[in-house]
Amino acid sequence: MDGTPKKAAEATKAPKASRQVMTAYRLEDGHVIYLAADGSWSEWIEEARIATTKEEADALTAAAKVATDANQIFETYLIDVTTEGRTWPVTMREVMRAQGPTIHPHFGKQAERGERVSAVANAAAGKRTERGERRENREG
Amino acid sequence: MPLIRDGNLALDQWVHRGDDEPLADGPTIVSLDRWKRDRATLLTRNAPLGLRLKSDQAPAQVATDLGLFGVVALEFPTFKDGRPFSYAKLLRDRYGYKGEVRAFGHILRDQYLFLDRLGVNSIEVKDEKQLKEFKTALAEFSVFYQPGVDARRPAMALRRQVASALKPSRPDFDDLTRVEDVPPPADAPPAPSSARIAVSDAKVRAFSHKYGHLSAPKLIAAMIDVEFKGSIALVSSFGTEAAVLLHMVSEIDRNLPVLFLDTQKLFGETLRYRDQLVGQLRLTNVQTIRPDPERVKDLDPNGMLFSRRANLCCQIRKVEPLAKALHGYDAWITGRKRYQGRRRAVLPVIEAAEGRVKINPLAGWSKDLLDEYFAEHGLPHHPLESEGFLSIGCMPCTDRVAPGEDMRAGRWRGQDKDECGIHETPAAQSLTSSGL
Amino acid sequence: MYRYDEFDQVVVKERVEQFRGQVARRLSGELTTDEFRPLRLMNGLYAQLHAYMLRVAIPYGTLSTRQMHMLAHIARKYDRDYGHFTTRQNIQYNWPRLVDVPDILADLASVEMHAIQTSGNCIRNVTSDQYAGVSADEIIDSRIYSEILRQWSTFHPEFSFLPRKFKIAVTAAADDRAAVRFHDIGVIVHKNDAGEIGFEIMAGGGMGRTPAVAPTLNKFVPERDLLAYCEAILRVYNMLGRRDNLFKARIKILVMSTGVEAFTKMVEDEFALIKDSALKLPEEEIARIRAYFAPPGYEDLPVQSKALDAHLLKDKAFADWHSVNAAAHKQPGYVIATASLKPTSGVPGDCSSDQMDAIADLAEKFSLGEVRVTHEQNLVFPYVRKDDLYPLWQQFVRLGIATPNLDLISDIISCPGLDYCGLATARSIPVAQQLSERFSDLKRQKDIGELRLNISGCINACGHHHAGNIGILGVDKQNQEFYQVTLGGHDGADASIGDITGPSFPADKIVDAVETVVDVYMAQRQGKERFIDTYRRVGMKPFKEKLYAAH
Repeated sequence: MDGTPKKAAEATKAPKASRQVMTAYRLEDGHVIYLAADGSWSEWIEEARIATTKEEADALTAAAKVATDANQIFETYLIDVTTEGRTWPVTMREVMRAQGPTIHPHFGKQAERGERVSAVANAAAGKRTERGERRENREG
Repeated sequence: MPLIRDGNLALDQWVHRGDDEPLADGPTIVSLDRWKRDRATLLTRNAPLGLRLKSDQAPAQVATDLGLFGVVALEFPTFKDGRPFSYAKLLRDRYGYKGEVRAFGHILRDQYLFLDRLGVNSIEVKDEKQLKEFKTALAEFSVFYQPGVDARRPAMALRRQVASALKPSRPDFDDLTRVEDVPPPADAPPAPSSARIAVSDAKVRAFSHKYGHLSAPKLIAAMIDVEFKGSIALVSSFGTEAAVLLHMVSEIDRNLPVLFLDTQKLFGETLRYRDQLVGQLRLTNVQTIRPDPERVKDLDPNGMLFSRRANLCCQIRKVEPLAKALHGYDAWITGRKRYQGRRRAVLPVIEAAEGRVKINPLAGWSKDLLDEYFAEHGLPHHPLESEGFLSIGCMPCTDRVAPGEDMRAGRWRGQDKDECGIHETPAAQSLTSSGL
Repeated sequence: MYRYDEFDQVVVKERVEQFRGQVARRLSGELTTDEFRPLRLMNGLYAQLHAYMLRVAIPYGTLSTRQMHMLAHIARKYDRDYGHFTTRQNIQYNWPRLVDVPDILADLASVEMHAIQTSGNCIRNVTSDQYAGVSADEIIDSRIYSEILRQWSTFHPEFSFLPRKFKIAVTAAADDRAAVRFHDIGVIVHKNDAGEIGFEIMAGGGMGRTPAVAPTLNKFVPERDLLAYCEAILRVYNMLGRRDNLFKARIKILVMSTGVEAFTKMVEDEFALIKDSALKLPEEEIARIRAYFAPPGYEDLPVQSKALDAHLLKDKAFADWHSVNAAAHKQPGYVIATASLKPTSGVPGDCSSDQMDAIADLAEKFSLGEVRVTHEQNLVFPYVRKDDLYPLWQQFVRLGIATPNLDLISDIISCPGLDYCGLATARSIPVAQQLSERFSDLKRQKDIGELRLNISGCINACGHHHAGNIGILGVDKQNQEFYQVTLGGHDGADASIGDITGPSFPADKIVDAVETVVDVYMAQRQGKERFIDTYRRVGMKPFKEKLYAAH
């Protein structure tokens, strides 16, 4: 991000007692992505791995560094999220990134989220088989 | 740390010394602070002294001392700190500093060209691989809008030059290139477009009528920019007189395809001369055409064909490759002149040849005129010219020319041959007959 | 308009290949994120909030139909079928893929366009008067000098790593439509008593965190010395501008801290040393560029158009539009028409690829093949025959670009804000949309009269809020969008910076607050007084009282 605001930097400093996920941009197309529970990078924050302790946050940072060094992603940082209902960012700015521009509802993640998110929500509920199927679909 | 100096890796004899480090015996670079502090002592040393300037130390404060330093080293604490660019410019332009101007610190490869333009002639680099990067970076741009400290001429100056070359300010040129005034036939078609045209004698006459009276640069411009835009090439030998035509072309369209036949029997000097001219004239589209390796393997396995059948040698090394290279072009430009004698004595400016239009802009030029052009535009001479080679082809078949001899007398000396064939054998036919 | 010669063409072509190489080096890992950033920025490629964003320069706002078609093509092929015209005569694409950008640049180069220096700490796209060449109040076509400056600033070896970005604007008209006093260098073309061209040169204007109206350094720099004078300013700035603090790095801070007099002296001293160098503009070069901007082949037309007059009488909607969006032309029988990219509830500056294509076709048919982009984010048709204005307007209506609001309250300048921008602290376009709805009634807008309303989504002020008669600045307060209001900004010849009214307003109160300001103005104004004149006469007090009455 060109000129990441201070907010994001602050977020990385205060992992205690909060829930955080790792976000970045994909090098090839610049799209917003999140480090997923399975170690892949997902466009959907709902799939992000959540860190609740300093150690877990450090693990996310380490994984981000690996992907950065492999020239897959860039500008990684931790953001605060809530997990009430679903995993969702706390700050306006991150909501915008997770969702897409409010003035163009037909662009950005919001345009594709619809069905996608309900599938994710189900998967997040712990149904392993569904999750497996979903991943297969994605790879196919 | 490796050093690129004047475009090549160089042994760095200079050492940097901190403000409180003991001085080295040899050439030493010290900071501005140390210079100010220890000036008297430093002046008594018996070794060359260099000056290091931080990015917030403008050279103005040592302007009168600059002559005492063998090198001025400009520090880039980060590539974003662009102050040393101004310092380099001032060192060269304002203070007339002639010694080495060096850049060191955090410098991006993509800044090398800017440094070069501003008179920085050495850069401390992280590894020797940077030399390749340096050369690539310097070749990335060939046109510049700003006057720099370097020799590259800005676009504004080049434009002025083009404009004056195209101005009809030298009517004598026009006279010298004029061909017989052949009136066009009644059914003369309109000037052909760049679309593929069937060339008839009538068309060539019409062409001659329309353009034959133009001076060489104007004729070339009309051909390149109007009649055959995108479908015309210059064929150049990079021989003794080639620079004239190449120079004219470079002022009209440096990206015009220039076809150069490398027969693989050329003088090394010719190849070097080619590179020199390409660099100086900044030609951007010189295509080196080589013989088909299969044909060479087949017909000239030990490379001695020239001694047995010179015509066949020319055929596979020049005629066929050129015929192939000209495929898709409607016209080509050659550098032949009438004064070169023999069959060239009656050369027209515009002629038809194997379905293409062939333009000989210099047909009417004399040797004197060529010499004058060389001098006026500061063009380098072919290195072999001073050794008596007035017309240069392949090494085995080119000899020196004695004073008073016809200039092409050295070509295929002792043989009943004075042309290689690209200017007479129907190129298209030979392409077919040779089965290519 | 200007056409590239072989030298210009080579520059953009080589730039495309250089950038292709840079992208390849990045993808292969040869360049790190940090090393690549300045390289891509110098080519207008940002990493924005949702994706990459590519900013393409439209030098001094002039576009040929061929170029406009290409912009449409790029939106269609590589992006999402639209582009966004910015507040500095650029266009932005919001969704390009990194791997496609070299091809986009190659496509641009094929129509003599580029993205060179549309970002980065270098000299940015040179902007100018959108009415250059056609307005009656100009001395000469200011694009001649804009183009000369464009070339000089392109890949300047000495000034590509400045302390901060650097913006230059040029005008040659009495009415400054290019906001030159809000630029790092502002150039106003003058003619002296001897009939010679010269330039009033200002430096140190800008918006951002510390807004400033540029002071004049020299009232008449001779025509041939334009580049030498600018180079002198840039050299002083490059060597002395602050590099330790991002917020204090613009030239305006240097001018302020040095003092105008001392700064001017440094520039003049430097200028004296270089004015006779190779920077001196040769008369042939000026003439060469001038020739490109010679008046087009105008027809000999009567001043009055019967067809136009008839339609004005017959069609009320057309007459309304004409009274607002048509401007006087210096050539008899012609008129300047502005297509509005500010439809009610629309996104200021957005244009779909179909619209762009259609606009290009219209320009081909009705405006001698040329369109201008304005810093107010509208499109100008500079060469319309009066006889053609009605059919042109009908096409504008069909395309949704006939909103009759030029310079009225709903002709809002707005940055992209938090919807797209990585720097923004609040959204700006949704506020613009709500305001355009609130004031959509044309009769009311015309009654209010000329009123510039500008919105920025952060302190960087890309929405020019400091220069708006009413300015709105979005701020983030504990993760809530709030909006600060300024009054009295103005970007004409009598430029001024707006004053802050007081505490900011929450998102759901900002539209009401603006309406309150307008109501106070309507109550206070005398006769046909413009908002800015009323504000200058009555001051902040009555506005403030009403705005914060409930608090």
